[in-house]
Amino acid sequence: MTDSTKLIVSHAPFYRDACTVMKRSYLIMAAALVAIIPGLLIFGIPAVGVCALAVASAILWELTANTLMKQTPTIGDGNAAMIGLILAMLLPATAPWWMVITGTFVAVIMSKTVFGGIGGNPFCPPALSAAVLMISWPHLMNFNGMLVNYDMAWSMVDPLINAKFFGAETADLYTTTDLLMGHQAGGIGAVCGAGLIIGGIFLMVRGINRWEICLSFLSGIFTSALLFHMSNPDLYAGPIFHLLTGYTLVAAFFLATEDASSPVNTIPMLIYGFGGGMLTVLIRNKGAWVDGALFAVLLMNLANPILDMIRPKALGKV
Amino acid sequence: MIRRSFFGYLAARLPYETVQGGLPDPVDTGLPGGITLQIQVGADQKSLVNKKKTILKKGVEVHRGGIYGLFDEETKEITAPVSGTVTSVETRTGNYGRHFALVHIETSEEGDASPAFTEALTADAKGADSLTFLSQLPGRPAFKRLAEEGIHTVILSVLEKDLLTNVNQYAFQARKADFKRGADFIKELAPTARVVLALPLYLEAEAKEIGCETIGVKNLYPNGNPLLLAKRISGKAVEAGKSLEESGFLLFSAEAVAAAGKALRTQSLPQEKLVTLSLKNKETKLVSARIGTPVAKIFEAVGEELAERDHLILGGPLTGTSVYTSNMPVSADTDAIICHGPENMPRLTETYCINCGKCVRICPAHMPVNLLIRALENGLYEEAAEKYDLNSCVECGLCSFICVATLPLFQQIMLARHTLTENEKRAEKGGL
Repeated sequence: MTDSTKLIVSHAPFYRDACTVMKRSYLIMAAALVAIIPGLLIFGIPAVGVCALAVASAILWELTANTLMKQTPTIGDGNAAMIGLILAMLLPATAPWWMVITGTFVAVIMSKTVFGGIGGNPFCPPALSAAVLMISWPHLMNFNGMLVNYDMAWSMVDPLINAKFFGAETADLYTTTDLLMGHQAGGIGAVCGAGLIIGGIFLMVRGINRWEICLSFLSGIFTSALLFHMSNPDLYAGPIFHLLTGYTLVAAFFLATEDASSPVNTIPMLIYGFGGGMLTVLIRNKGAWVDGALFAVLLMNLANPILDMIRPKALGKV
Repeated sequence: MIRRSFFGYLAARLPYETVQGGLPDPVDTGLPGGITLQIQVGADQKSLVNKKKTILKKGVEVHRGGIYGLFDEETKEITAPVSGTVTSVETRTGNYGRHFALVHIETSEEGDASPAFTEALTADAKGADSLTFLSQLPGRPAFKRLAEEGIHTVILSVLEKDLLTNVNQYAFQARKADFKRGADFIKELAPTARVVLALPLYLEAEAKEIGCETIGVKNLYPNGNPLLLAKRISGKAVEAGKSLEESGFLLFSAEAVAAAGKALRTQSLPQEKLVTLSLKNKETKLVSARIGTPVAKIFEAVGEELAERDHLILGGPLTGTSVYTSNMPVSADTDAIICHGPENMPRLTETYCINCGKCVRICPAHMPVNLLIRALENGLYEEAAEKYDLNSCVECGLCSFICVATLPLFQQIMLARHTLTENEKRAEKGGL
């Protein structure tokens, strides 16, 4: 039955969809860059430094972990670089070098590698890392203090701080166009609303982000902010303000949609997103922290395994 | 070969091949010098074959159209597609520990067909003898099972088993009179059963002449899957873990129905199998080959040459089997033969599941593939069957096709199902 021509054998299927983990990471990074580049133009060279350091150190941390654990290097899949870049989006342009490196250490080693690498992390790595930084060094993650030397044509007071402590009418200082164009104080990749929306739509259309999560997250923000605003317009800012300030759009398009820590079935995705959006506004309006997006994402990550048990009945199952 | 939409949020659309605008005659590969018949045998029978305790053994003369038993005279299970002499009998182990007996026959001059089938037909067309013959036709129709009790729905399927083949659509259109005769015969055989003709939407207009209840289905993979068709027709899915036949469904491919019609009309057994060839230059060809013809012989007829490191696949691109030699024969249910170079070889990686959820979206059986694979990778097969719906799988291969981490999902699922059935068998034996 044998002959001399050696053929390759493998198991079905013999067709593969062309998308790979690497391609996926690069597409997410490309979408992130749409939001980051306006940020770099606004904040200048220090912001470039933070981004470059975050990406480079994230890759190095992953390589170190691979070497120490005697694994084949996994940096080729682009996931570490992607985590670094998304973390940089959340940091202020003047973040000190040691904080960036600590941040990528927490993101890559403590929230991904120790859980078994890609796909095993229970929390979204950049969100967990930024939350750790925010709790450890609150003054270094405070955009008012960090961006004090930037003298722009627009108000460089963090809109969320203004709205939280000085009443909802301060929200009128920031026009929607300004917020969309990145004319506000905030993280490097979080200020330019228009860029984030373009990047987010690109990711949803390409099927990389699950659109159910993004849209339900945004509708959660919108609904709860609208209810707060209607109950007391003097105290609580309106929904559009909440949608375009702080980490809202980054969380909706880049953090909440992180693959391993978010659900995959339709109903759980909707609950997950909507719950995340509601928690964000709750923490902003009622909690101790200025921006609740990170904590909301992490809390919903925690609920993900239980949420994902709501699933359709399989074929022929009684 | 599959063009992927830019809009990734849409499910991947995998259309079946169609037969539209003319019905070219299939390329006839001619009478091969030698053929190989492949019969699946049990593990205990394998040693019998190896000890040469078969009736069909070296030197035995076979007659075209005659029917023979492998181990004893009574249970006849092989019809000879050619006349000739048996040169050797050997065994082969296929995927998932299945054993096959291979009977090599050297072809002699093509004489008149054996009268056995005509005699059986004249005696009783619906009798056991005649049905045994008909069950050996191209497409392997389960006529013997149809005559038994417990079949409530018969599906005549013009849909294909996999991509890159169109033999059923061709057979339905080109051999319509025979198809009708075959369908009428099936209705006579099972007067109480519901006979449904399932066909792609574009062929629906041509179904009127057949006089069956029809159901039009979009010509997209995996709509032709037997389990999914059964659900579509009866409105209720086959219970997870049960086969189609156990639940009272039988599926006949259009080619098999047409072959049965032709057998009844000509009083002789058609032994030509239609096969869609996909060659290395991306060309597809419909060929007609005698059952048992080695693939090498077919390639010779169409001028294809296999090189080292090529990939040779029997069956479609999503559910087929890749084989290690071109001496492998065409069997009664080989619809497609695909050959492509090493550059098309899909690469597997060592990445873990990244939980992107694409498999969950595409799975026609609504299985939680992302959770299932975590159990399967750790060998927790029983837990997988209990908690993660392993038994609901319809074996379409789409999860592996779409997987971003290029995990061998389909292989893991098949391995788990095989291991579980083996364990069950062993437990039953131990219980006796």
